[in-house]
Amino acid sequence: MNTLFFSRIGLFLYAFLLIIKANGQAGDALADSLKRELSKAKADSNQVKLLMDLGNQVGYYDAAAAMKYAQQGLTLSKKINYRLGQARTHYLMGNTYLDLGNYRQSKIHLDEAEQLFSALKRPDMLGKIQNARGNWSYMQSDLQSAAYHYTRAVETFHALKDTALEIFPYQNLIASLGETKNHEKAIAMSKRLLKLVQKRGDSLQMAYSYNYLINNYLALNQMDSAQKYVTDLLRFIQSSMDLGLAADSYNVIGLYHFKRQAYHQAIANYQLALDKALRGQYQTAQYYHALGRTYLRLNALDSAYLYLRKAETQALVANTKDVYYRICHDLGSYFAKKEDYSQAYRYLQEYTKLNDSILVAETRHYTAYLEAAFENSKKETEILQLKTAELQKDLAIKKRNNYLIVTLGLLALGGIFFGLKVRNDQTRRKLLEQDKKLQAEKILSLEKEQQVSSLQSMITGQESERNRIAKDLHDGLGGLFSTVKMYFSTLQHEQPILGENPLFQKSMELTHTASVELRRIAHNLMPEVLMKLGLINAIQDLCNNINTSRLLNISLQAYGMEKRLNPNTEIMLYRIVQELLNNIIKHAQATEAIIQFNQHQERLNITIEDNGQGFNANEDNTGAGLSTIKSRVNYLNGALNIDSTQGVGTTVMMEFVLES
Amino acid sequence: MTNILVIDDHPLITDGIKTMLAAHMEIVVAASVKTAKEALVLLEQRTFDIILLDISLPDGDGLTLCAEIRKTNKQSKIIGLSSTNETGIITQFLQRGGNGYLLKNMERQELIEAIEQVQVGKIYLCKGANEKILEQYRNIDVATQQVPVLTRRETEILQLLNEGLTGPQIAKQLFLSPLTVETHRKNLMQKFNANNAQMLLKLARQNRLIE
Repeated sequence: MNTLFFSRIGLFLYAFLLIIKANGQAGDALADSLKRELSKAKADSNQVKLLMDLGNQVGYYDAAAAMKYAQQGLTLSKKINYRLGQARTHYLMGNTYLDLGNYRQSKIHLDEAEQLFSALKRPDMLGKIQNARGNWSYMQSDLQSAAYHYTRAVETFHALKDTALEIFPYQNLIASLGETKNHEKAIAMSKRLLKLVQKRGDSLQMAYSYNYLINNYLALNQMDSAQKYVTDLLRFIQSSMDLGLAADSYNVIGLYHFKRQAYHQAIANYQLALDKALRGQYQTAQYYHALGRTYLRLNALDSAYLYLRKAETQALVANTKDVYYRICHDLGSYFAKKEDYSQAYRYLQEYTKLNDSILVAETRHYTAYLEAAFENSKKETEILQLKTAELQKDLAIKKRNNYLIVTLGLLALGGIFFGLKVRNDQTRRKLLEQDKKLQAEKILSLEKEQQVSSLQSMITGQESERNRIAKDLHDGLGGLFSTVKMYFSTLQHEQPILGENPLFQKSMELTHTASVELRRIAHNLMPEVLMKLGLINAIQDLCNNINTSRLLNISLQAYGMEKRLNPNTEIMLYRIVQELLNNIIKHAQATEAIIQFNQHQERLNITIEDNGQGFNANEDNTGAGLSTIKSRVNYLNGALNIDSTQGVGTTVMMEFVLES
Repeated sequence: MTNILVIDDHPLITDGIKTMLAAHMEIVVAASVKTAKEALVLLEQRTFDIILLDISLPDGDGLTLCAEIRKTNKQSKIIGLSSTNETGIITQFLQRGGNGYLLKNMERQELIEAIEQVQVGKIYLCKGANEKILEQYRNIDVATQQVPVLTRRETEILQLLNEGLTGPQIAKQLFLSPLTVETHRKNLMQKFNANNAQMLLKLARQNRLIE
């Protein structure tokens, strides 16, 4: 089973917080100096900043402490009414709770942070929050939502023309692709991204790319291709300070050896991963599991059990289903080998249960979304490369100046506060951080006006795919069927006796049925009238068809809809109406329905009402149909209101603000 | 002798049409082209009695091309060829000067009948299309009666407006937000084409929607 061999690579959880990547020791030293600074600071916004720096610094290896600093920062910012500080602390807490596996709290803080940052007009931070939301979904194996949020993050950073930031969610999207077993695609994307980051000289991102490449090649059992990148990755880890990534890297190298059946080498690498692991239970659970699994292969059952048990505990603490179910599988095998069948059965049952809920959930379906998301962001990234090259030239000059200013400033500070304790390399990294911030702000100020485009890309991708299939059906198969029928009818004309041959008649009839059926399928995929004549005509057609079938009597009224809308909006609205009508026909037992469009300037109201049996709109079990409608309305930034009275009927009202 | 031009990018379809008409003494496929551009060039040089025109072409759609041809050519009869029988498309095609409409999965007899009918000045529609168009006219009849159909909420709000309640009062009574009531009121005015609440009530009374 392939998925068991696909190891999860840490996402960029803290990547946006921590720009200094320090090893443990240096980190402590920095934390100490920050603490000292803190004790001298007054209760003002500077103190909040210090608390935040501290939280970020320790967050990498001590989530509880990070939480403490964040909490202090939050209290203080509230007291002095420092809103940026509040927003930042919420963001930090959201990420830290996520790391701790507390999804509920994490969401609460991310929501708060998002509200504050959007009031503060900080699109860059909103992009980071989208990325964090992606991680939130990813860690709960909801890859579709993860892809949605990552894409939005990509789009946000893209609009800000910030390639450095854009790469993060992009990498995470690649991770999601791998998770959906779309390994070839993930490899292709990783390679493309690798080229880009190589050009930028971003060694951290290169290492992430190597990681993904190895992982995906291994999943495809292409050992030779994987090996090439293992060498590159090893070179990086040996020179890198990034512990979180180092741990993941050793893990993936361990997996490489595991697949080569070099179990002892695998164990050595997994141990290294464990030594380097910083990020709490999520990482350690994975590595313990890897060790346990390897010992299981070696038939060293006692060691295997030891590690699998540790892994199980950690996975449960971290509340991470995706690691846990894999552990269950191996614990099951362990007990089977021990001939303790009741325990084995228990674990295997747990495994099957989780495996079903995690993996069978229409993996293919996500894939279409993911691919569409990629195709869209990719094109733009290529354009972006050119633009950033220009910016970077400009920035290089500023950079030198910044170096001077910041070096002087920091040296002075260093003299007063830490003396010689702050080592040279820290200063340099701090400089880099400042420099990156300045760079980001520079780019930000250049493009402040840029609006963030919505998630249209995914949906557009899906719809354009449907459109393509419908076209192919019409042009390809449709044409063939039609031609066959033309030949048949000519044949019948030339050989009238065939008209009495039942087999011939049947062939002709079936060809006809096939072409009618094909037309129906293509029409459902993408009605031609929608493309050519617009929304109202298409809905009128839809209503005509339903009215003719006597399933329901629909009256359509449209006011102020003379001009055509943006094509994507039209498709979305069409799908919404179609789905609502489907619901009415399937569930409402109604005889009459009204569809009403009212457009006043840029505001569009859509009302759909039936006289059916109604339902309880507050109940959760409103079915998949309604949730797709909700998500489509959300994509259009619309508001949805459902008003249903049992025995009277249901009224659905939607309001949209159209883009001009 | 009836000369026919086939405009279709799908060679199989063109071939099928030629095959169906091969044995016919009076009708001959005189030329066939694959794109709208080629068609316009050819039509400048030659005339045809009948043009069989595919609705979706690689370089533009048949609806536009039909109107384009009609600008200079009033004599040729144009029959649309399509793989969809969506009413909107059919009526648009006829409005732009088309004389007939055939589905591509037609039989020989139907094609010949269509050609003969349009030649004597009639409009020919494939069987499915006829039914659909009739249905659409039935709906248009309803629409031209001009009395808007009201939703339940609109009826309620109209009643309360008639009783002299203000927007916020209505909102309170119906447990709605004032904004929602305002939206309904705006929609009502738009539906009756009224400029203010007085005019709205007057029109509603005329139409016996309120007392």
